[in-house]
Amino acid sequence: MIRIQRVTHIYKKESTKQEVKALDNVSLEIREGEHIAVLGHNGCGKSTLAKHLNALLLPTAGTVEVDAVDTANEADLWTIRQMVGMVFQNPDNQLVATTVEEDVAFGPENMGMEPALIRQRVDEALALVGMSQFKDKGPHLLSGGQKQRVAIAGIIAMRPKYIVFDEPTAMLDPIGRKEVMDTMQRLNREEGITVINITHFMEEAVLADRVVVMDHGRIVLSGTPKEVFTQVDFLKQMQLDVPPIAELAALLHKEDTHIAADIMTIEEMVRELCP
Amino acid sequence: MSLEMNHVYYTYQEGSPAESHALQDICLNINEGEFLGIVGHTGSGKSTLIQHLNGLLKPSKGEVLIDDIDINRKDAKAQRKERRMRVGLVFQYPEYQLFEETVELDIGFGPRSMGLSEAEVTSRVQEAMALMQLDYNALRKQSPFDLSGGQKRKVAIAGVLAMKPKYLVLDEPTAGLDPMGREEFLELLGQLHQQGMTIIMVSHSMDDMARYAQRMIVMDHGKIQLEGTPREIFAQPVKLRELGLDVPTLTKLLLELKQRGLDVRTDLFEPQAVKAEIMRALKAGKEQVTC
Amino acid sequence: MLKDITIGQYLPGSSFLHKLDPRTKIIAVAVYMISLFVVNNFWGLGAMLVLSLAIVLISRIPLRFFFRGIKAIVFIVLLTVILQMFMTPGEPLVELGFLKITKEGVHQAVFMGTRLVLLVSVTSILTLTTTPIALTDGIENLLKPFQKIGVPAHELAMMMTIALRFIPTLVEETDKIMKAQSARGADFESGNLLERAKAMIPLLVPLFLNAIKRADELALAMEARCYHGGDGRTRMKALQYSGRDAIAGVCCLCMAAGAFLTRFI
Repeated sequence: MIRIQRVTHIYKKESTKQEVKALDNVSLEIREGEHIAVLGHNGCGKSTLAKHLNALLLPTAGTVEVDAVDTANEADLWTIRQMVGMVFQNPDNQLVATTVEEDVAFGPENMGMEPALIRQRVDEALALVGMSQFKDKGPHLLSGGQKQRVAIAGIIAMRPKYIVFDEPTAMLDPIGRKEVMDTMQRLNREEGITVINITHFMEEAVLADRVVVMDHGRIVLSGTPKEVFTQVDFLKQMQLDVPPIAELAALLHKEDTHIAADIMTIEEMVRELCP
Repeated sequence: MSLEMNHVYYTYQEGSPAESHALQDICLNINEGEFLGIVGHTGSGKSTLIQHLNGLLKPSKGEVLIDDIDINRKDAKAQRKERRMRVGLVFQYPEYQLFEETVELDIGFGPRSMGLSEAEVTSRVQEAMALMQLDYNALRKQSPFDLSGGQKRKVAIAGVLAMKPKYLVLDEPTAGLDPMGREEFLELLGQLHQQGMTIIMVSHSMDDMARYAQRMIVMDHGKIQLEGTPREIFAQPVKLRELGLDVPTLTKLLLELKQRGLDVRTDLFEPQAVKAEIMRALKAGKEQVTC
Repeated sequence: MLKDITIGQYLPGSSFLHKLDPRTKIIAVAVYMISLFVVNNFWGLGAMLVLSLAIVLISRIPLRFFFRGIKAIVFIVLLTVILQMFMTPGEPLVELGFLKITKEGVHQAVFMGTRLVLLVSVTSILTLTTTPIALTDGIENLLKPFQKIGVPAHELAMMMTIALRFIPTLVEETDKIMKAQSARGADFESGNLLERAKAMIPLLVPLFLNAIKRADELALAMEARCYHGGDGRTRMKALQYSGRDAIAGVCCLCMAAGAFLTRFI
């Protein structure tokens, strides 16, 4: 379990030397096996929050604990980073090596594993994301979605319990986006890995067990996708997108209260209207 | 007056083993004042196509006409440059092309390279910034690199608008923006269009296309596969899926409903219109049952 | 133009040379270079020429790769040959006014020209038969003993790897920014040298700023993947000498000894 307790993070802007409160007294518990989506605008603090989960940033006040280990504890830094993997937004800027398999091996190599074990982990990880046939290719020959899958494999090879995805699909086309989302869901459901997906795509948030909405460094809304997305007016006021089906459900509900207002997906809506 | 592509072919690395046909027999007529949407998955040739519109790429075969004159006609260099400048091209993530010390200098780079007087450059910068809803007095002396992501992008586009193009071509202008930024941006483009600018927009988002484009083309394997109004295009979901594309979410819902026997139109995509249509169909259905 | 440079290109294959340990190959190239400059008469040079041809054949790399590599340095070779021919003092063969070709000059010119061509060909075999990763691993490994006296072996190898990884990305980006600035009227092709240099600013500034941003993000991603320098780091593909390397080592020793002996013919 990751326990975030009353975390505040303040940093100084380089250009203006102004102090910015990126996180403001945030508390959140992430249970094992959960799939959480964190939503919000650029600058709402969601990426800052993400970087606290594996000690890339440390809280100015409050504590973050991963499996009861405080991230501020320097002696446990590498254990924490191994347990909490992170996939970043730009697929190009997180691949280090000149071939796919060498890149996937990077994390395990840093952990000082035996060569034979690394080999085994790399092969498994590549198979899991469906990139085995590209293992000898250079990263620059891959599509955006493929690069992201390699990045994910690089994390999986370290056998983390938690993976934080920091806007992993923001720079991808629809095909790449689907590749990454399918992989993310499979890891959560089949491998039991806890997924924390930082995103601003509502279609992705709908797939989560729990949705957390952030604004100005605070958590302003949290609940199941149904609970969150039925608050159409609140989300619109926050200038966040509402999933089109949820918006339609709200409109239909106003006209005819027999139609449920908490519908998120096309399948559910079809069942509701044509039983 | 129009932008025209006549039987344009484009081949990468002609004669080498890596030869690939990026464009094949493209015929396209873009009228002044139009809002044209171009969709297709990555590698379908849409980026190659738009680079032909301002002469960055030259067709291997065929011709590109701008206001009835071949854009690559071998006349004086100044004339050729002037012709190319009539088409403003905004690349994906245009904020990565900013380089000057101040916002004003950066936006002025285009007009200055056209050889305009300083007074004219300044007035162009002011106009372009107004179009992008950027505050000239507040921002002109700022470094573009200190701005937020969305504002950087606006500055970059203002840099293209300052050259007063008649035709504005944008490649994925909302990529990487958050929902608020995306909305704001699309509205800005809509306004530009209403003021008479011809807009050609490449996008992956069918929902955005549905709302803004008057006409769409769908590309695949270097060819134009479909052409028509968004309604006409979205009425062909099977074909779209074959091309690796999707219809807007609510259109998809209507198609599913229709399949399940609810008699609805399937060429709608705005929430209000879809709601009205579903309510109408439900009522009609009930009446039939009671009759 | 960039495509013509054979040094640094890798050509996949399964020849004896491809399978050698990179460390062996690096050392062998060093020994070869020394041998090439140790020989001082035509017997020795002839032997080196035959040996080099043998190496080329063993590598099973098409000859056109070597011709291309030589084409790239043809100017330097010609310059060397001409300078040697006219500038070496000694017994004159031909005299053209103030220019004279000496016997010693011709001797030197042939020697230097051949040495240069052989040097480039054999060095390019090293990169043509070794993947960049293996090459950096080899260099890191060979430099390791010098780490105690402050040679940053691991850091150098890491820098090389990252550079190799990002060269294609940066080339692509250069192309993109050039196009974007051309669309704003930038002109990279005409004007005098100063004007052209100035025209590069709109290209170089974004490229540079972007590279810094990439470096920042990459550093963060590496940290998140537990990177903390070379200490305690293992490798998936650990380098290992085999029987082949022993054979190659013996051949190298013979070459060096042979080269030395030819001096006494």
